[in-house]
Amino acid sequence: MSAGFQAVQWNRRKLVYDAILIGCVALFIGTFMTVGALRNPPADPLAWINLRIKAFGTCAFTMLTIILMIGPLARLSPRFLPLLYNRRHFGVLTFLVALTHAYSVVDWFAVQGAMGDLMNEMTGSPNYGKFIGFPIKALGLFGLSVMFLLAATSHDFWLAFLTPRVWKALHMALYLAYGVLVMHVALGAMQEDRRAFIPLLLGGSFALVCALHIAAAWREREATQPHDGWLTVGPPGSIPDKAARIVTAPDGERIAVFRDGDQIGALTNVCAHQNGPLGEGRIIDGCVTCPWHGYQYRLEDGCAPPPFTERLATYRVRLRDGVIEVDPTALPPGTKAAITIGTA
Amino acid sequence: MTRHHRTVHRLLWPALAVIVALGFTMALVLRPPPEQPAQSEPK
Repeated sequence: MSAGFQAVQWNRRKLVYDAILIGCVALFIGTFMTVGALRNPPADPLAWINLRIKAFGTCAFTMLTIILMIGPLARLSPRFLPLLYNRRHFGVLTFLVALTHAYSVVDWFAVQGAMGDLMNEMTGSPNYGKFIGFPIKALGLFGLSVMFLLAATSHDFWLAFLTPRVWKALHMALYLAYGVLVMHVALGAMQEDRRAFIPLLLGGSFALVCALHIAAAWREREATQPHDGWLTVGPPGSIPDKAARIVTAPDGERIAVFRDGDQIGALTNVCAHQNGPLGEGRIIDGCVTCPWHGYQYRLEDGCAPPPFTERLATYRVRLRDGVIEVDPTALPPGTKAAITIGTA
Repeated sequence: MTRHHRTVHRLLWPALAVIVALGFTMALVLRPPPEQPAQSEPK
C-alpha cells in the first residue's frame, strides 16, 4: 500500500461534484413542476401531490438511467472517469429522490384517508395474476428496497466488512432494480398517459443503457485481438506516460499495461486492497497508484514498496514490430516482468 | 470488478435486458385505447 495512504474522505472535488448534482436535481424537479403547473394548473392539493409524484419519479428514473450509463461510458472514454469515482454519491441521492416519490404516493392516499386502499393493493390484490393492471406500487417498492440496500451499504466500511467480492455482487442488483423499475413505469405511467413521449423516453433510456454496454464490450473485444497468443496493446506511444491502457484477456481478465518513461510493465487490473481499477490510476513517485485508496505497487514486479507486503500478478510484455504485446497468462504475484523499451 | 463478477454480469444482464424488452413491448402493445378515461390514481 501507500505510505501516504488516506481513507476515502471528503475533498473539494467531491464537494463540487455533489453541489452540481444537487443543483441539477433541484433544477430538474423545479422545472418539471413549474412547467407542469403552467400547462395544467393543479386545482387542489391532491393535484399538487400528483404533480410532485411525477416530478420526483421522473427525476429518480432519469438519475438511475444515468448511473447505469456511467460504467460503460468510462470504459469508452476516460473523460467520464470522474463520474465513475463519485457514482456512489449519485446513487445515494437517487435513492433519496425515489424515496420522496414513494412518500408522495403514500401522502396521496393519506390525504384522502384511503390508506386501506393502498394496503389492499399491495397485499391482497387479485391483480398480481395480471400483466396490465399488475400492482405497480409493488414493483416500485421492490426497486426502492434494492436502492435502499445499495445506498445503505455504499460506504467503504461495508465494502471492507462484506469483502469486495460480496459487495460487488450485491451492488449488481441495481440492474435488477432498473429492470423492475422500467416495468413499474411501463405498466404505470405509460398505461395512464397515452401520449407518445412516455414510451419514447422510457424505451429510449432502456435502449441507450443496453447499447452503451454492448458498445463498451465490443470495443474491448476489438481492441485486444490475440496474435500468437499475445494480446496487442499498441505502439509504446499509445500508452500515456505514467498511466495505463487496459486490455482484456480472452478469459475476461483485465490487464493494466503501464508506461513509465521507457519502462513498460503489465499488472492485473484488480487492486489487492478492495479490487479497485488499478489501470485507471497513475504512476506516482515511481509506483502504480490505485485511484480508489492510493495503494501503491512497483511496476517492475507488482510488489508494494516496503514495509508493505501486497503483491499483484504480473504479465510478460514484449515489443514486436514496434508494437507492445502482452502475454495473457498471469505470472505468480511479485514476478519481475517489466521491460525497458530500448533493450527489449 | 473481478473476472467472476464480469462473467456473471455478462450472463445475467443480456437475459434481464431481453426479459425487460419483452415486458416493455407487451406493455406498449396492450396499452388501453385512447378513449378510455384516464385513471386518477397516481403512479
